[in-house]
Amino acid sequence: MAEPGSADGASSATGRFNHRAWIGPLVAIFGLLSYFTLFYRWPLTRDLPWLNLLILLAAIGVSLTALPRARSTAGRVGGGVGLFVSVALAGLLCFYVFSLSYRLPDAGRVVDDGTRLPEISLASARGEAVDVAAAARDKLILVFYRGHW
Amino acid sequence: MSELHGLQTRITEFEKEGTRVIAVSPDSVELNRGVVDRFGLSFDVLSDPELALTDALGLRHEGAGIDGGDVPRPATFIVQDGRIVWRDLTDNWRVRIQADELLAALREVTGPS
Repeated sequence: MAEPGSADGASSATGRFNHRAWIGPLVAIFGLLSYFTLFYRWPLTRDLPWLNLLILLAAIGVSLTALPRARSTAGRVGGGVGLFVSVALAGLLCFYVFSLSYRLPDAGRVVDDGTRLPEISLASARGEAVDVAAAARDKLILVFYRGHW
Repeated sequence: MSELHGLQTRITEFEKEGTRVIAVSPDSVELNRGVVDRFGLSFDVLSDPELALTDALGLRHEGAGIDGGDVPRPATFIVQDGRIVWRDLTDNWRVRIQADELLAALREVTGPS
Protein backbone atom coordinates (compact mmCIF):
# COMPACT_ATOMS: atom_id res chain seq x y z
CA MET A 1 0.00 0.00 0.00
CA ALA A 2 3.00 2.25 0.40
CA GLU A 3 2.89 4.05 -2.90
CA PRO A 4 5.64 6.48 -3.71
CA GLY A 5 4.39 10.02 -3.43
CA SER A 6 1.07 9.10 -1.86
CA ALA A 7 1.99 10.57 1.49
CA ASP A 8 1.17 13.97 0.13
CA GLY A 9 -2.50 14.85 0.20
CA ALA A 10 -2.54 15.97 -3.38
CA SER A 11 -0.50 13.23 -4.94
CA SER A 12 -1.74 10.61 -7.30
CA ALA A 13 -0.95 6.89 -7.15
CA THR A 14 1.45 7.24 -10.02
CA GLY A 15 3.60 9.42 -7.82
CA ARG A 16 2.89 12.44 -9.99
CA PHE A 17 1.81 15.49 -8.09
CA ASN A 18 -1.85 16.28 -8.70
CA HIS A 19 -1.40 19.99 -9.30
CA ARG A 20 -5.04 20.69 -9.97
CA ALA A 21 -5.95 19.95 -6.37
CA TRP A 22 -3.92 23.01 -5.38
CA ILE A 23 -4.38 25.22 -8.40
CA GLY A 24 -8.17 25.26 -7.90
CA PRO A 25 -8.14 26.84 -4.42
CA LEU A 26 -5.24 29.13 -5.34
CA VAL A 27 -7.22 30.47 -8.30
CA ALA A 28 -10.23 30.82 -5.99
CA ILE A 29 -8.21 32.87 -3.49
CA PHE A 30 -7.10 35.12 -6.35
CA GLY A 31 -10.70 35.31 -7.59
CA LEU A 32 -11.90 36.54 -4.21
CA LEU A 33 -9.04 38.86 -3.21
CA SER A 34 -8.62 40.50 -6.61
CA TYR A 35 -12.17 41.85 -6.35
CA PHE A 36 -11.35 43.87 -3.24
CA THR A 37 -7.85 44.88 -4.25
CA LEU A 38 -8.20 45.44 -7.99
CA PHE A 39 -11.51 45.00 -9.78
CA TYR A 40 -13.44 46.99 -7.18
CA ARG A 41 -11.97 50.13 -8.73
CA TRP A 42 -13.97 50.13 -11.95
CA PRO A 43 -17.77 50.22 -12.08
CA LEU A 44 -17.69 47.78 -15.02
CA THR A 45 -16.13 45.04 -12.88
CA ARG A 46 -17.50 46.23 -9.53
CA ASP A 47 -21.26 46.68 -9.90
CA LEU A 48 -21.67 43.12 -11.17
CA PRO A 49 -18.38 41.29 -10.44
CA TRP A 50 -18.71 39.07 -13.50
CA LEU A 51 -14.95 38.74 -13.91
CA ASN A 52 -14.38 37.55 -10.34
CA LEU A 53 -17.38 35.21 -10.51
CA LEU A 54 -15.93 33.71 -13.72
CA ILE A 55 -12.53 33.24 -12.06
CA LEU A 56 -14.18 31.50 -9.11
CA LEU A 57 -16.23 29.34 -11.46
CA ALA A 58 -13.01 28.35 -13.24
CA ALA A 59 -11.45 27.55 -9.85
CA ILE A 60 -14.34 25.21 -9.03
CA GLY A 61 -13.94 23.62 -12.47
CA VAL A 62 -10.23 22.98 -11.90
CA SER A 63 -10.96 21.56 -8.45
CA LEU A 64 -13.59 19.25 -9.92
CA THR A 65 -11.23 17.91 -12.57
CA ALA A 66 -8.67 17.19 -9.84
CA LEU A 67 -10.98 14.69 -8.14
CA PRO A 68 -10.91 11.82 -10.69
CA ARG A 69 -7.14 12.24 -10.99
CA ALA A 70 -6.56 11.32 -7.36
CA ARG A 71 -5.56 7.67 -7.12
CA SER A 72 -4.94 7.43 -3.37
CA THR A 73 -7.13 8.15 -0.37
CA ALA A 74 -4.89 11.03 0.61
CA GLY A 75 -5.13 12.40 -2.90
CA ARG A 76 -8.90 12.17 -2.83
CA VAL A 77 -9.04 13.93 0.54
CA GLY A 78 -6.71 16.66 -0.76
CA GLY A 79 -8.86 17.06 -3.86
CA GLY A 80 -12.00 17.19 -1.73
CA VAL A 81 -10.53 19.86 0.53
CA GLY A 82 -9.46 21.85 -2.53
CA LEU A 83 -12.97 21.67 -3.98
CA PHE A 84 -14.47 22.68 -0.65
CA VAL A 85 -12.18 25.74 -0.44
CA SER A 86 -13.00 26.79 -4.02
CA VAL A 87 -16.75 26.44 -3.46
CA ALA A 88 -16.57 28.20 -0.07
CA LEU A 89 -14.70 31.20 -1.48
CA ALA A 90 -17.14 31.45 -4.39
CA GLY A 91 -19.98 31.30 -1.88
CA LEU A 92 -18.37 34.06 0.14
CA LEU A 93 -18.21 36.43 -2.83
CA CYS A 94 -21.79 35.56 -3.81
CA PHE A 95 -22.96 36.28 -0.26
CA TYR A 96 -21.13 39.61 -0.26
CA VAL A 97 -22.40 40.65 -3.67
CA PHE A 98 -25.95 39.36 -3.63
CA SER A 99 -26.89 39.69 0.05
CA LEU A 100 -24.57 41.72 2.25
CA SER A 101 -24.27 44.72 -0.05
CA TYR A 102 -28.06 45.14 -0.13
CA ARG A 103 -28.19 45.55 3.65
CA LEU A 104 -28.95 49.22 4.13
CA PRO A 105 -31.07 51.10 6.64
CA ASP A 106 -34.65 51.97 5.73
CA ALA A 107 -34.58 54.70 3.07
CA GLY A 108 -37.56 56.28 4.84
CA ARG A 109 -35.14 57.70 7.41
CA VAL A 110 -33.46 59.87 4.79
CA VAL A 111 -34.71 63.43 4.33
CA ASP A 112 -36.99 64.06 1.36
CA ASP A 113 -36.70 66.45 -1.55
CA GLY A 114 -37.50 69.98 -0.46
CA THR A 115 -35.50 69.70 2.75
CA ARG A 116 -33.26 72.69 3.47
CA LEU A 117 -29.61 71.86 4.16
CA PRO A 118 -28.66 72.55 7.80
CA GLU A 119 -26.09 75.19 8.64
CA ILE A 120 -23.26 72.86 9.53
CA SER A 121 -19.59 73.57 8.96
CA LEU A 122 -17.22 70.69 8.27
CA ALA A 123 -13.47 70.68 7.73
CA SER A 124 -12.15 70.27 4.21
CA ALA A 125 -9.02 68.26 3.40
CA ARG A 126 -7.11 71.54 3.59
CA GLY A 127 -8.44 72.05 7.10
CA GLU A 128 -10.75 74.93 6.15
CA ALA A 129 -14.28 75.09 7.56
CA VAL A 130 -16.89 74.79 4.81
CA ASP A 131 -20.51 75.72 5.55
CA VAL A 132 -22.57 73.34 3.44
CA ALA A 133 -25.71 75.50 3.58
CA ALA A 134 -23.75 78.46 2.24
CA ALA A 135 -22.19 76.26 -0.44
CA ALA A 136 -25.67 75.20 -1.54
CA ARG A 137 -26.97 78.70 -2.25
CA ASP A 138 -26.59 78.10 -5.94
CA LYS A 139 -26.29 74.53 -7.22
CA LEU A 140 -24.51 71.82 -5.34
CA ILE A 141 -23.84 68.11 -5.74
CA LEU A 142 -23.43 66.58 -2.31
CA VAL A 143 -21.95 63.08 -2.26
CA PHE A 144 -21.78 60.94 0.87
CA TYR A 145 -19.47 57.96 0.91
CA ARG A 146 -18.45 55.47 3.53
CA GLY A 147 -14.85 56.53 3.85
CA HIS A 148 -11.44 55.22 3.00
CA TRP A 149 -11.16 51.43 3.55
CA MET B 1 -13.71 55.83 -3.55
CA SER B 2 -13.88 55.35 -7.29
CA GLU B 3 -17.01 57.49 -7.48
CA LEU B 4 -14.91 60.47 -6.37
CA HIS B 5 -12.48 59.77 -9.18
CA GLY B 6 -15.44 59.50 -11.57
CA LEU B 7 -16.75 62.90 -10.43
CA GLN B 8 -13.31 64.42 -10.95
CA THR B 9 -13.21 63.24 -14.58
CA ARG B 10 -16.39 65.27 -15.29
CA ILE B 11 -15.69 68.18 -12.97
CA THR B 12 -15.39 70.80 -15.72
CA GLU B 13 -18.85 69.83 -16.95
CA PHE B 14 -20.29 70.24 -13.47
CA GLU B 15 -18.58 73.62 -13.26
CA LYS B 16 -20.03 74.62 -16.63
CA GLU B 17 -23.46 73.92 -15.13
CA GLY B 18 -22.58 76.37 -12.37
CA THR B 19 -22.55 73.53 -9.88
CA ARG B 20 -20.19 72.98 -7.00
CA VAL B 21 -19.31 69.43 -5.95
CA ILE B 22 -18.72 68.45 -2.33
CA ALA B 23 -18.04 64.97 -0.99
CA VAL B 24 -18.53 64.04 2.66
CA SER B 25 -16.83 61.16 4.45
CA PRO B 26 -16.61 60.07 8.08
CA ASP B 27 -12.80 60.05 7.81
CA SER B 28 -10.36 62.46 9.42
CA VAL B 29 -9.03 65.53 7.60
CA GLU B 30 -5.67 63.75 7.24
CA LEU B 31 -7.21 60.68 5.58
CA ASN B 32 -9.27 62.89 3.29
CA ARG B 33 -6.16 64.83 2.32
CA GLY B 34 -4.59 61.53 1.28
CA VAL B 35 -7.61 60.75 -0.91
CA VAL B 36 -7.61 64.25 -2.44
CA ASP B 37 -3.91 63.97 -3.26
CA ARG B 38 -4.11 60.42 -4.55
CA PHE B 39 -6.96 61.10 -6.98
CA GLY B 40 -6.02 64.73 -7.69
CA LEU B 41 -9.46 65.94 -6.60
CA SER B 42 -10.19 69.62 -7.21
CA PHE B 43 -13.45 69.60 -5.23
CA ASP B 44 -13.80 69.64 -1.47
CA VAL B 45 -13.89 66.41 0.54
CA LEU B 46 -15.31 67.26 3.94
CA SER B 47 -14.74 65.36 7.14
CA ASP B 48 -17.81 64.41 9.21
CA PRO B 49 -16.36 62.19 11.97
CA GLU B 50 -19.18 63.01 14.41
CA LEU B 51 -21.74 62.28 11.66
CA ALA B 52 -23.37 65.70 12.28
CA LEU B 53 -24.39 66.34 8.67
CA THR B 54 -24.90 62.60 8.13
CA ASP B 55 -27.48 62.50 10.94
CA ALA B 56 -29.09 65.78 9.90
CA LEU B 57 -29.94 64.12 6.59
CA GLY B 58 -30.86 60.75 8.10
CA LEU B 59 -27.98 58.86 6.49
CA ARG B 60 -26.42 57.03 9.44
CA HIS B 61 -25.79 53.34 8.74
CA GLU B 62 -25.17 51.67 12.07
CA GLY B 63 -22.27 49.28 12.38
CA ALA B 64 -21.42 49.35 8.68
CA GLY B 65 -17.88 50.69 9.00
CA ILE B 66 -14.90 48.41 8.57
CA ASP B 67 -14.22 48.74 12.32
CA GLY B 68 -17.89 48.14 13.17
CA GLY B 69 -18.55 51.84 13.69
CA ASP B 70 -21.29 53.90 12.10
CA VAL B 71 -20.83 55.43 8.64
CA PRO B 72 -23.07 57.31 6.20
CA ARG B 73 -24.93 55.18 3.71
CA PRO B 74 -23.82 56.07 0.17
CA ALA B 75 -26.05 58.87 -1.08
CA THR B 76 -25.97 61.65 -3.64
CA PHE B 77 -28.03 64.84 -3.50
CA ILE B 78 -28.59 67.69 -5.89
CA VAL B 79 -29.21 70.89 -3.93
CA GLN B 80 -30.48 74.14 -5.41
CA ASP B 81 -31.10 77.39 -3.55
CA GLY B 82 -30.30 75.59 -0.29
CA ARG B 83 -32.92 72.86 -0.77
CA ILE B 84 -32.57 69.24 -1.81
CA VAL B 85 -34.19 68.87 -5.23
CA TRP B 86 -33.05 65.34 -6.12
CA ARG B 87 -31.52 62.39 -4.33
CA ASP B 88 -30.08 59.01 -5.19
CA LEU B 89 -30.03 56.39 -2.44
CA THR B 90 -28.59 53.25 -3.87
CA ASP B 91 -30.22 50.02 -2.70
CA ASN B 92 -26.83 48.32 -2.88
CA TRP B 93 -23.85 50.04 -1.31
CA ARG B 94 -21.43 48.63 -3.84
CA VAL B 95 -23.26 50.33 -6.70
CA ARG B 96 -23.05 54.12 -6.92
CA ILE B 97 -24.45 56.53 -9.43
CA GLN B 98 -22.05 57.28 -12.29
CA ALA B 99 -20.89 60.82 -13.04
CA ASP B 100 -22.62 60.70 -16.46
CA GLU B 101 -25.98 59.78 -14.92
CA LEU B 102 -25.54 62.45 -12.28
CA LEU B 103 -24.77 65.07 -14.91
CA ALA B 104 -27.90 64.08 -16.83
CA ALA B 105 -30.00 64.28 -13.65
CA LEU B 106 -28.50 67.68 -12.83
CA ARG B 107 -29.43 69.07 -16.26
CA GLU B 108 -32.91 67.62 -16.06
CA VAL B 109 -33.70 68.75 -12.52
CA THR B 110 -32.15 72.19 -12.41
CA GLY B 111 -32.53 73.23 -16.04
CA PRO B 112 -30.07 75.40 -17.98
CA SER B 113 -27.76 77.48 -15.84
